[in-house]
Amino acid sequence: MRNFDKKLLDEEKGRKLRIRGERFEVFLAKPWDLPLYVEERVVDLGIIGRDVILEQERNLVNLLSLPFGYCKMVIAGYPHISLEKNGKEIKIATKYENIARKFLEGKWSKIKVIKLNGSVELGPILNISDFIVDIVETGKTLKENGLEIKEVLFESSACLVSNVASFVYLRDEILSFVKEVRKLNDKCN
Amino acid sequence: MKRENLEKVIRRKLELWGYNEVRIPILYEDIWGEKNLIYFEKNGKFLALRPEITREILKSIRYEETPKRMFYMGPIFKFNGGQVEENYQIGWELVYRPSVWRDLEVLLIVKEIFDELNIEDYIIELGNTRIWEPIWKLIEDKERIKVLKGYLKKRDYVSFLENLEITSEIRNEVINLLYYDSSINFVNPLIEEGLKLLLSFIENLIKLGFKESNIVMNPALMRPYEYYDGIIFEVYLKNAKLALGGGGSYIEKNKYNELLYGFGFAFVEENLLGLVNKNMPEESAKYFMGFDDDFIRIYEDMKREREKGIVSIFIPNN
Repeated sequence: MRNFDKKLLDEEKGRKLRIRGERFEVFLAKPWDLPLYVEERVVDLGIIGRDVILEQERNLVNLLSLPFGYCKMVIAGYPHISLEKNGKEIKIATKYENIARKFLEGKWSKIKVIKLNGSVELGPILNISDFIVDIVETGKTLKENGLEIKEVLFESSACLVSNVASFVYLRDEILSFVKEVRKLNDKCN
Repeated sequence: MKRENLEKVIRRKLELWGYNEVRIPILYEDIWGEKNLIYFEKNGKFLALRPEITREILKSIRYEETPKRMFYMGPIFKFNGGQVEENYQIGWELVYRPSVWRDLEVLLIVKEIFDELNIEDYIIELGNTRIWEPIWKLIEDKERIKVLKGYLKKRDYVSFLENLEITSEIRNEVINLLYYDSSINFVNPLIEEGLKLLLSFIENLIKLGFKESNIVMNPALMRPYEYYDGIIFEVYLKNAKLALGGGGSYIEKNKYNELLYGFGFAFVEENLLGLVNKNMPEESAKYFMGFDDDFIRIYEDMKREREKGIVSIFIPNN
């Protein structure tokens, strides 16, 4: 954001959650709360991971993929357990219940999604689940826990999102910002 | 402002344009599998509370060569987060073959109602489904098209572009449609034609009294139902978080297997009520105070006021 509003750099001190620039007023929020702020039009724009956007399915405009926060949403498990159908109910441990249901429905005859709030790798280790669905950056944590990636469900990065009504009322301003961000993306690539 | 007064304004305006009210049952028999639908069983029949009104009306009316104007107001139901949610849907339809005046008329009624409610800072976001036809033709695969349309409806441009397997030249055209601004020129003549049609429709709206600030052109706009074909739109109010409602041009088969062409608009009343309270002019009323015995004498005076169209209310003087 500092590329688009230099004043943000001067204002960004300490642990402030609200930073006023010349062009933007920036709020630093937890990733899982941000879609709500955008949907409720507390803010006009947000930068949120695609994993959270797809999980929460809120009413937003997902405008643009940004070149940071890369990771993969994967299904992972022990090497000796295959994804093949075996007629049994398959248990999936995950923080991403909706994504697991959406992407894995129909893959097996029956699945049970078990919601965990963190350290999802414990699912197979403690025999709570057969597989896990989680975001992976390097795959190091999986490896250290004896798990491997079975399938990539989708690739994720940070995304620029907008409130639906803001996109209509501030269309010119938002699209001009999108243009600037795309230009910067092209330069970085 | 009371719900009844809002409905009165809308009803009166529609009647002045020659629209007639239609009423349909609250219980549906033949819809299945729709998400959030409320079902129950009675004497071996599965029944559902209506989730919306427009489609059911379109199914039941016959197509005629003359314009058919109708409006509806009534409750709709859905299951939301484990709770039954009841809302009140209001909409109007002009069933007639595709014509510019037909589409303009429906939107002019929106404008006139907003004028009467003193709502000035609304925006009508306009699109045209035909702009996308050349893209869908290139993709061919119907399932794929459905998925891509789904992303446009959800306004998930990131997933849309990720799933768009298409030559880079057309891809650039698509990107320009998603982030459209009037300075962009398109190579594909069919896309250009669809955009011109939309622009000329907007020019007509402005000629008819819409302010430029009331209109936003968004070629990437897509509506939730498959039956839309041609001009589509969504209506926004300044302090709202999402669209008040929407509509557009459609082609739908009725239960007699006839093709029905029309243009309509529908919205949920609660979304408007919360926002117009400050804007609505209150209806003036005359109050007549008296004891029980005075009522018979006062009645004639009240009747005369009512004949002039003035609301007259008796207040007992206890």
